Amino acid sequence: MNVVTVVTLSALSLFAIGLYGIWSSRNVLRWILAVGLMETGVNVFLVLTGWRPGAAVPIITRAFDTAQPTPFVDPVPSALVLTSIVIGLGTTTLAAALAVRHALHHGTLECGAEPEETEVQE
Amino acid sequence: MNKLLPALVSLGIVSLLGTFLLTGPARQQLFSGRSDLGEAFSRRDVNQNATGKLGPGSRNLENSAANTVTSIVLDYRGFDTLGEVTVLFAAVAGAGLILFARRRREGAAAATMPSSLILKAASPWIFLFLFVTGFVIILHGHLTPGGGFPGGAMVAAGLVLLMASAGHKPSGKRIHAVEALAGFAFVAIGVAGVVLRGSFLAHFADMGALGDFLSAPVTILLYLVIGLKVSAEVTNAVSTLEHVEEDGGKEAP
Repeated sequence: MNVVTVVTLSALSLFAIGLYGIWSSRNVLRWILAVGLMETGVNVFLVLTGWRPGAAVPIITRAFDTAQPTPFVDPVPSALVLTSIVIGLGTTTLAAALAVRHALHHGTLECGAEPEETEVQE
Repeated sequence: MNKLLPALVSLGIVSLLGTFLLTGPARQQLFSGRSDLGEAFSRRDVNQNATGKLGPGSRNLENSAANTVTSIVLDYRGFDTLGEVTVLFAAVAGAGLILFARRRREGAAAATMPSSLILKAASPWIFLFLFVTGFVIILHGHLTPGGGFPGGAMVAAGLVLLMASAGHKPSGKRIHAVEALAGFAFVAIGVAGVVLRGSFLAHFADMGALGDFLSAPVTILLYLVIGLKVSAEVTNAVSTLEHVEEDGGKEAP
């Protein structure tokens, strides 16, 4: 197995764990954590698309002073992932605020049919 | 609840995606081992260079930040980063809006839990360490991995720690002032580019030599502004979330 296969499989595993977490749970906090896991999986995969065999980090150092400079990985996916992480922080903040609001209103972090129905009937 | 179905379906979706990505034409296209942009970047910079070599000390480059990711984020894609900072601001403002009505109804007299002796004794020292390291990371964003976002998050972590040990809300006005001034400074640097070089966020100062601490001065300034803004935003978000949690958690019907 080479690098591409291993890293793609780990990125997809993170994505799958997140998907399962959203689907199998009714806890709002777990949803937020699961979305965070899926984001991490996508970010890992995006960084991988810039990778090339034997390449260095995209920072120009003394390795470039030689007659044959080492190639470096594509910096564009890394720059995009930087943006993606920051936007992920923003969405997590907003989701956490909504979760607090939900917990204060319903007295629970569970988001399901059973407790709400009883509340409406009263 | 039945948990077998979600497990099977997510496994199925992911194995489909995996076969699509790892076999066939998608893999050829995504992982061909080429880095067109990286090569174009270094070739153009090398050609424009008097010595014909790219390395520490090179001058007259398009952007002399040694960290290529930084020169993309703050120069070639600087306008996008302004949008990114705006999204972060909007998210924190939205969180404040969602929780604001709640806070005002409860009043400011919410009882706070006293912090432990260990937290009280240790947090000023850890804060000092986080503060200095955070600013070192912010100011070296053009030379090393890091920059305004992770450095700002570190500074914010220090401030949150201090907030937890003091057991009271930090001055909201000061945080908002830093937030607003940093956002204004970002746009002001962009407008200075319009005035001096004819395009928004253009690098209007002398580039300097690659690898020097004072190379790409506008990039350093932008990262400093972003670091301040991020630390203020994150501290603001945490204090918004924390001080709602403290008011008991039960709402009057």
